[in-house]
Amino acid sequence: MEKITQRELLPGVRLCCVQTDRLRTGTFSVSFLRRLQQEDAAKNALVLNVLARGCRAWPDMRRLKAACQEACGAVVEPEYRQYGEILAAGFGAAFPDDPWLPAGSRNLERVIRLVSDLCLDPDTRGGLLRNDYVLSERQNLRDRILTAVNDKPTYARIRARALMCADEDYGVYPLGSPEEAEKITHLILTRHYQQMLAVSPVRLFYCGALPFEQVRDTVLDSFLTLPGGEERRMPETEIRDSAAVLRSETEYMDVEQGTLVLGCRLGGYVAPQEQPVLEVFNRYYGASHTSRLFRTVREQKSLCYSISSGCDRHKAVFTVTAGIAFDKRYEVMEAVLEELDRCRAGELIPEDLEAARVSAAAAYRMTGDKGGALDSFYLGQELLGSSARPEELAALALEVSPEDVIRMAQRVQPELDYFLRGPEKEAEA
Amino acid sequence: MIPREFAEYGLTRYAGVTESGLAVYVFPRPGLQTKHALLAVKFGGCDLRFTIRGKWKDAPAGAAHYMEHKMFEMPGYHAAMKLSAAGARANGFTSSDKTGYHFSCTEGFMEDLEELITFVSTPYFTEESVAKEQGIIAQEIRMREDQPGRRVRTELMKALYARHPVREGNLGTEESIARITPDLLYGCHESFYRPDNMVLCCAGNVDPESILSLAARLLPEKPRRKPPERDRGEEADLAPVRVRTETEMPVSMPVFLLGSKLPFVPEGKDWQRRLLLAELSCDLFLGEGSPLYAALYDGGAINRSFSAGVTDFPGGGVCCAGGRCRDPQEVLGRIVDAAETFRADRETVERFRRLQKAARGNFIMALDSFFDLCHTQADGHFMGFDGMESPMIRSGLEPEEAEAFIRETFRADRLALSVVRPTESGKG
Repeated sequence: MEKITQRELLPGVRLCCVQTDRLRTGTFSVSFLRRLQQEDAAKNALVLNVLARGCRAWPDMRRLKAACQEACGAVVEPEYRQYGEILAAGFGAAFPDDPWLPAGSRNLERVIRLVSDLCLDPDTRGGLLRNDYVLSERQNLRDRILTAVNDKPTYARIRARALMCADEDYGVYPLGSPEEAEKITHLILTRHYQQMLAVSPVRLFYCGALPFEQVRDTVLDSFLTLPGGEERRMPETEIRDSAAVLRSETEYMDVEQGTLVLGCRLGGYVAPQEQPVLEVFNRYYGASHTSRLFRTVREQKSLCYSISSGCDRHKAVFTVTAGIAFDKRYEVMEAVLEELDRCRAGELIPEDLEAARVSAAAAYRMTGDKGGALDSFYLGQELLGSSARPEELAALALEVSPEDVIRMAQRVQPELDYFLRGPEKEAEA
Repeated sequence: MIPREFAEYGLTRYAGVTESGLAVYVFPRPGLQTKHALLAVKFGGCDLRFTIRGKWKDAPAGAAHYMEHKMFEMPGYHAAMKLSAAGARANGFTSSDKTGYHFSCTEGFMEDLEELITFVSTPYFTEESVAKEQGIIAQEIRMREDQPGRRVRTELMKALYARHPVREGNLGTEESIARITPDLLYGCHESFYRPDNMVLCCAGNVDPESILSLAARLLPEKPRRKPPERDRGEEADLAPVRVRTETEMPVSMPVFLLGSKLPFVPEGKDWQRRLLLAELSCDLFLGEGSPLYAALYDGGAINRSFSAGVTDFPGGGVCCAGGRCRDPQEVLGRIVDAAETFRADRETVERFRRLQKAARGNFIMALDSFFDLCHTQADGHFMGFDGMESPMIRSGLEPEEAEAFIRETFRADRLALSVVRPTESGKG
């Protein structure tokens, strides 16, 4: 059985420790919680990539990689995770846990030291982040932002979100825009970095065999130079009601397959106790093999290969995405809305609802078998104001009633019907 | 079931074979909630010419993948839906050498396993259902055609190989799948979906003996016919058919993949050693910790999308490197130049030893992924080697072998370059 301990180590700095001897892989991460906003997004992304180029102890990628290899193949990477309009920006590490290595390996200590060096002790010139690293990573970031277009379904979701939430921070692309990236100098980035360290709430996570006290002591020792004195204020996500009407947008690209995205809002905050209800509804409606959308749109009508629904409980936004032929847009959209109406009207299929319950419960339970999944889970719970564990949510999922699901379906308000498709002429041919 | 303990990893593997010839491997992992099963069939995208009842047959490209889709359909129900209804996460995949059916669950493992073995061993193909699937798979094919990473790989294989079926891709084309009929699928099922051509791998808090008993009960019959023969068009020539291939897509900057064919080595331990050497050599030469990677990255020729590795398939394998960059030809040129002068000097030897240490750590971490664990076991079973022995074999490799491999593999006359260039509409 795992032991979970969560403590505030310093003002605004919390450590969540999951002690378990069941896994071979240890997980450690540090996240600086930032509000997602246009003026900061590119800076947040860029600063991590610059830090990942090297620190004083390992000033370039070769030596940094050598340090990871010495830590028995530890994988240490910049991480950006989004929870509504909150961005958890930092570094995540996966490494072979100490019990599976020769005695005295102290691998966790190595990894924590490596991550803290990357975060807190960069290789600077005159107190500023290295200009050559900033220029090189700025170009890479610009290229990476533009690369979003390469993955069409993801690009369609990004565009749908930007259009639906045009005047909200949620519509901002987490990596920022090429124009914003272009403006960043090493001076601007150093200031941003210092501000990030000083005022962002910090979340540390560990999952592995070692006890809380040992992890806490190592963390405190390694993160001692984290600046103090200023208040670390928790960012928040703004939740909006739905627009009154469903609007339609179409964009064109030279693609073989169209991507349809239906963007919806849940009309207000998702309370912690409603999480299992949303999870069960999502699986019943569109996120499983027994979902209404899979059964009808794919299996009965053969209209697509992929169709699924998803939700961001932090922003109370719900989406459906489908890869379809260009001429099937209205047929698919009609089927998607028809199935939603059936849920709202209470026309539920008991066996499929039970399938959604057990599938949601199993998914919660499986979370406990992966360090990375537990990291995201516990951070997500904290941001929702919940202290529930995966097994508790699994038990609650099994108790979700048809009335709960109907109420959740009635909250889903379609707001944007977005279609990314090929040129008009090709579709008509 | 015969246990074999891997003490340094705290893992025991149980192995057994049913009377009918089905190989069963089980990795018990008490304490974890997830339980996983993979039933794999040695029939993949590269099996396009084979015998059915002793007669040679040419199958349309995409036949194994089409079969994978249709196997879930049972008389009166859909197996994936049934497993999903029980809380399991079920899926299938088709690679160049095999088709896999798998599920993960937390409860009801034995019932789910019974369903898995039952549906994989029950062929049920009607004219209507086979025709219906064409629309779905056509959408899957179009989805893949929009993925530059897929496109660049497909074109690279066509540039490297003149006849090998890896040229065709596992999904086939809309034209080729239109030729698939229920008769063909029944023939493929009879030839390949037989216990002695399949392997069952399970991991989690499960009981090995119960699994073997269940498999023996559900698949009791020993196949009467000989296993099918296959023609996978092995090629001896290591030179590519074309040195460069280019296509256009809506991408923001060029996407590229370069590759070099591995010499053919028959399945078995020699092939395993060859693959491990190829992987380690790629990492040594082109991995993040290499001088070449640093020089290319620092000069802006590549970015973090760049990676190198080995892809293997029946009768062959390719060392690949690629990503997104402005000038793929320049990257290729730098790689060829660096390979010519590559030496196992002291720094390289130190790095080689570090990579061996890191690879052992990565192997330990991979034991937490039941999908990877079962997949590796199935791969080894079909290819005649034991994946659990990989760390030991890897630790026996020497830097001088890597030097020879790199100098030989990344020669200009061995490499082909595949590039997807941006169309006007894709430029940012």
